[in-house]
Amino acid sequence: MYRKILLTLILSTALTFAAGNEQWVLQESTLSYHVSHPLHEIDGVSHAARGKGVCHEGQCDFLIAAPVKSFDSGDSNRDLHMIQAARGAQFPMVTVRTRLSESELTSKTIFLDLDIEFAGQTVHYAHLGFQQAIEGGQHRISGTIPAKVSDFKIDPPTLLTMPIKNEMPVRVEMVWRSA
Amino acid sequence: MPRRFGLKLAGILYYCLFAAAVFAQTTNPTAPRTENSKPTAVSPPDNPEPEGNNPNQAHQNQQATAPNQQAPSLGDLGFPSNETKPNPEEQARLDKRSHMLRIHQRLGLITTVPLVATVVTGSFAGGRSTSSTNRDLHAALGATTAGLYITTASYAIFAPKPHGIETRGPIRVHKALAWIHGPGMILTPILGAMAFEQKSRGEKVHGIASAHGPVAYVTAQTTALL
Repeated sequence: MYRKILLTLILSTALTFAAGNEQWVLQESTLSYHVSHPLHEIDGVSHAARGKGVCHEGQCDFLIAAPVKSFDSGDSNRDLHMIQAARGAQFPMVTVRTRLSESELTSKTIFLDLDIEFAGQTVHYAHLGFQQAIEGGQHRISGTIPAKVSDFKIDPPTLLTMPIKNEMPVRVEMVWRSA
Repeated sequence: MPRRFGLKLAGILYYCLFAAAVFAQTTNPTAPRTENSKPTAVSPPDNPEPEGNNPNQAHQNQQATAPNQQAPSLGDLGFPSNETKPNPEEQARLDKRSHMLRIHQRLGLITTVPLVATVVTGSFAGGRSTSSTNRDLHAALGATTAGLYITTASYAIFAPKPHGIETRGPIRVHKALAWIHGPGMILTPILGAMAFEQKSRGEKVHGIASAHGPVAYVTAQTTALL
């Protein structure tokens, strides 16, 4: 009898802890920044982001990171200039931290406060809307971060003495799954 | 009987430990509460833009979330250490490279002015024209162009080269064309000097010097393509 009670207690404890510490893993991602120049439009894409989410007491903390040098705009010379301008050797990673309540994990639209660390600056973007589609345990999240070059105190790169525009929206496409 | 008592005691102890652990977690002051999930301490932004009512505001150097021991860290993501480690030497190399290539770009733009002028004056310096003034002007502009070109090229040649970067994109065309206009920019003034000498002696331009015009034309065309 007591053995059964003990086993039940152990099982319920394990389940409680398991439920309270759900983890999420970034399965695949596409991050792309868009930059406008009077002479052309540029998109730099990275598929190298990794991410993890940990849920605890109804709150989930997420971290997504990608190497700055992993962004490819199709021109190695331009990418090297981007790394230099963004101080990518000194600060090689771009990281995004966010938190949301566990109950929002299944919402079609999720609003996030993001802390983005890039080029040695940490910038907070509040209440950004992201779309979520859940298919077979996979959570597809997409949205755009309205980043600006000046947010990160980056000197706007120039081509033929003309600087790029200040707007640098970052398109985010991610697929998360429960670990 | 003692075995049953032991199991009973173990069960009670286990339950007490579990309750204590759960109680300790819920009263942990560092763990965020649900109501604290939104930013609470908002410092004035460095961004000089007016805030207005736009919810998508970017604020610099502030923490939106309270520190959480459970939150994942960069180390949890499994990136190789060489990718996450700051490299000030590499940054210095990139800074130097970008600085030199910016000068390369500006000098290249400046060089196009005497280049165009040299091409234009070239049409008056050869052929049946006997005016030494036009030839002198053409020669002076040509020498200026060649000098500026070599200076421009040296900033690209001596700029630090990044390690392990495969060259992609339009820069490949730029580099390939340099193999045409580079030798052309050396040959053109040499052939021009020979033609100048022959013309100054009152001779008709002959021999290899007669290639000055075509070589200059190809060089100017490929240089203009950048």
